Amino acid sequence: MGMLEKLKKALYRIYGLYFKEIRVLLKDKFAMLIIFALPVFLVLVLGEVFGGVGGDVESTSVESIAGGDTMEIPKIGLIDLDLSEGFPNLDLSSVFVNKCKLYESSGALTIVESNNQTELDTLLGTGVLNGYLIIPDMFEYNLSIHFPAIIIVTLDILDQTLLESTQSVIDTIIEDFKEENNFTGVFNYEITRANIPETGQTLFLGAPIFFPMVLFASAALTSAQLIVSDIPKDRMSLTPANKFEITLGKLLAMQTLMTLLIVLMLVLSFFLGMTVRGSVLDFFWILFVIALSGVTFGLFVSAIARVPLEALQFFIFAFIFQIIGVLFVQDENILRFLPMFDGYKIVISVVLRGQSPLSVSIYYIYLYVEFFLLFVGAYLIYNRKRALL
Amino acid sequence: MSIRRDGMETLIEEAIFSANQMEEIFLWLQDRQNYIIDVEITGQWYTGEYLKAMGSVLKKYTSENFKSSLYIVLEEGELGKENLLIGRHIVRIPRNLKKHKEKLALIPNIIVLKNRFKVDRQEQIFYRGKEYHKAVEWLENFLPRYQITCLIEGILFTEDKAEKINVSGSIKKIQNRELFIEVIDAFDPVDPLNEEYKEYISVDWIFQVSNKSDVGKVTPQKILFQIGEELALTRRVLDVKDVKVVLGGRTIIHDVNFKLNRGEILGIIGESGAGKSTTLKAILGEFDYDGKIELFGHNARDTKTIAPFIGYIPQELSRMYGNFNALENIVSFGRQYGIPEDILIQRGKKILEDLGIAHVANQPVDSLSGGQKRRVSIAISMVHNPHVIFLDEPTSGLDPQARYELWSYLDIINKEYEITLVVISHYLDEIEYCDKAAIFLKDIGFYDFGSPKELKRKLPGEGYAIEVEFKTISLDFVEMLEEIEDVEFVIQRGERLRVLSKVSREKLLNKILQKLEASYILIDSADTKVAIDMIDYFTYVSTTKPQVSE
Repeated sequence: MGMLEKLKKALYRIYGLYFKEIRVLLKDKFAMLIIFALPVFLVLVLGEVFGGVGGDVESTSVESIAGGDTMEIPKIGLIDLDLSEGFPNLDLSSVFVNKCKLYESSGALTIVESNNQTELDTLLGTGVLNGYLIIPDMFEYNLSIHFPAIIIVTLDILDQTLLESTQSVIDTIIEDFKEENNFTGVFNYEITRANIPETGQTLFLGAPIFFPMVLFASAALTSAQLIVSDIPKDRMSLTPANKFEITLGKLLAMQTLMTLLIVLMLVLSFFLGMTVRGSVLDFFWILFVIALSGVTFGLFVSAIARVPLEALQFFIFAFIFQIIGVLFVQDENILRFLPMFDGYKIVISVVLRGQSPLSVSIYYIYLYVEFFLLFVGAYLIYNRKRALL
Repeated sequence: MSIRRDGMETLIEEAIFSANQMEEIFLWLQDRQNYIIDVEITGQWYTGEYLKAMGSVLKKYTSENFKSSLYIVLEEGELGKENLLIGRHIVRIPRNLKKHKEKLALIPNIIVLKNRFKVDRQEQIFYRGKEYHKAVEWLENFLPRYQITCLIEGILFTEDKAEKINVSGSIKKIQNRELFIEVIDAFDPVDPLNEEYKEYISVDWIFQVSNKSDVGKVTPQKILFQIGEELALTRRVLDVKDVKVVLGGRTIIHDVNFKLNRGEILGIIGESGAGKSTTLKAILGEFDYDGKIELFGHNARDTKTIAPFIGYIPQELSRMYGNFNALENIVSFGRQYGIPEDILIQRGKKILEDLGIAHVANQPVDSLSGGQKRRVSIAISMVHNPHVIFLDEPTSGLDPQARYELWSYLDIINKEYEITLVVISHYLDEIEYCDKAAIFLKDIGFYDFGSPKELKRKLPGEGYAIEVEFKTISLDFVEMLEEIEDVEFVIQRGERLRVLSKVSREKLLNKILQKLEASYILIDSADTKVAIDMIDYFTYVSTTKPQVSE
């Protein structure tokens, strides 16, 4: 038999296995709940269809949406617009700038000095800066006559893993400055949040964590049962179908349903007012890749497990491990092995900031490699198992 | 339309159609796609003469769309008033007959279709000349394993002309995408009785078929392949020789030897834990083994080559999709053999009907009874027309009535579908349904192989025993009879004792009666020649088997 004929036959078998798996999944009410009902419900919740979550977004404190400690040093822009004079022999705004530089030399932050707010806005929008401070004109004079002087702080809240550390370092510098100069009561700062669209804010802000987490969880939880619970597959493997084709059929079927879910979630999110700066196609593609890694992760777990309960336990453990990893591990070299972290990074940069996918290609590469290794691993482990018990 | 029995008591369904009932013909055939349909046809041959011919409907799947035309292989026919015989032809009758009438070789008048309820095993395949490459591809796949005969209608190119030719023969080889055919019959379709031509194309001539219009070669217009016997495995289905399976350092079975021929039923019978399932798993390539196992002449380790020829029915009913209905299960498994869904559904319906569960075909398997589930499982294993089916304890857990019923269905599968069966069972009496039995005993493994009759004849008394029926039986009676000289073995069956011996049963019965009389034991009846059954056989072999030291 020629190679072409063999390939045609194999494709027909995979086509048969694919439809069989689709049929199995569609008839499984629990799988349908996990794949479609719960994610859609969560979109509706975040889309504030049921009256909103956690009150008005504008009043949400930065702490409440902060991600936690990170390994990155905040990059903060600084503009000194103060030309006024209030104290003899003292340039108060320069003292503040020097204070910032002192903290920079201690490694707490990186300062980017500028005299152009538009430039800093651009840098903030593309994620180069995590925030910037503007020392306004009349800063020194107002303080000298005990008038309130306000430093304007603008923070990027898209990258929530850096939000808290940025906020924290600015708090420390300002408190230090106030204490040193005894400006209690008259000196304060005002926080403005940047990069937030006017509509669908909860969905927008939640997107980097919500979409990857829900898709990964939904895909992995359902796929984790696909091999271990499929008892008739042992009989199937005595037909001309081989275990690779059986595994591939499962992957394709599950990914088809995940694709439908992605489309459904995106349509619903945009319908509920969510806007993104990147292209919708890029958004779809990253969600597709995350779902794919979720499916292969589930298949891998399913191949390892001996009984369905074991697969569920493996999944729960691995999922909690990922959440803890994203929240508390600081070394990005480790975090890149977690699909949810890669997804988080890509969604922020490509979808919310509108940057080129090439700028975060390293995360894509990790996702593709993870997908490949998990799929091959799932197949190899399943292949070692005997068909007949 | 009528259904009748012919002189041989064979059921025949017959339908007579006129040429303007083509739609009805297609509907009639659609309902009978699983059967071989014979045809008697009368009409006008393209030469203008009246033709009466017989043949069969060609309806095997290829890329050709048989839904728009009816293809008939005419095997023989009489032409004109002189009753001249014509040779084999493939004729096409389009569904829309009026539109294409002028282009046809045969304009039909009356078409008689006959269904003899013979299951169509899809052993014919048809290609048009322009599909030559596909035909060669198909042949490359099948020729190494089967004897293939063919009917080719085409053009024979000679030095100075091109002539029409119909060639029937056996395909010998393919070389450089050319077919080499050993001719059985060849004739000029324009003048089938041209003897000069027949002499010119003498029988045993090797013809070359090519699509390149070369001199001396035939360029085909219609190609019909017929799958014949499998090469080198015409009768032998299974050959197990000196097989040994070692798992985890422990020898599970050893010295297993048995053979199975086509059409037979083999029972792998024995006690639980005796190695029956291990043997089956070795045959199916699940366990590594020493020795030789061949299925259809192929090494059993070559599982992917063997897979299309075998069906497997696992013991567990969970090995099919419980929330699928029977047909969905059949389609899911059947697709893996490359069979299109519509054919799977047609075949599946027919099999479910034959197994008596057509009425539950659309219910989820989980909602069926144990017996019905078992039959669905059997149907799944049959849909790809396997040559042999392996059944792992199919009657396990069924009540005696259901067991009997299942065996009657297995008999249908064996006889009507001509499928060889290998059945594992721990019910000793089920050997009686089998042509051959491989006997497995606990702690011994494989013990013996043969037909039930052969096995029983190996016992003292060669399959027969003396039977004494008592009014009231006591356990001491067995010991008492065993003390008698020449008594080899005594089996208790209720109130009766069966005595196995190699000597004359008449003489021995006298001795037995004397001994019983001396002990004042009353008997109800005595018989010198009672045929022993497999329960007696197992009682004997399991008691007298060699003891294995730990």
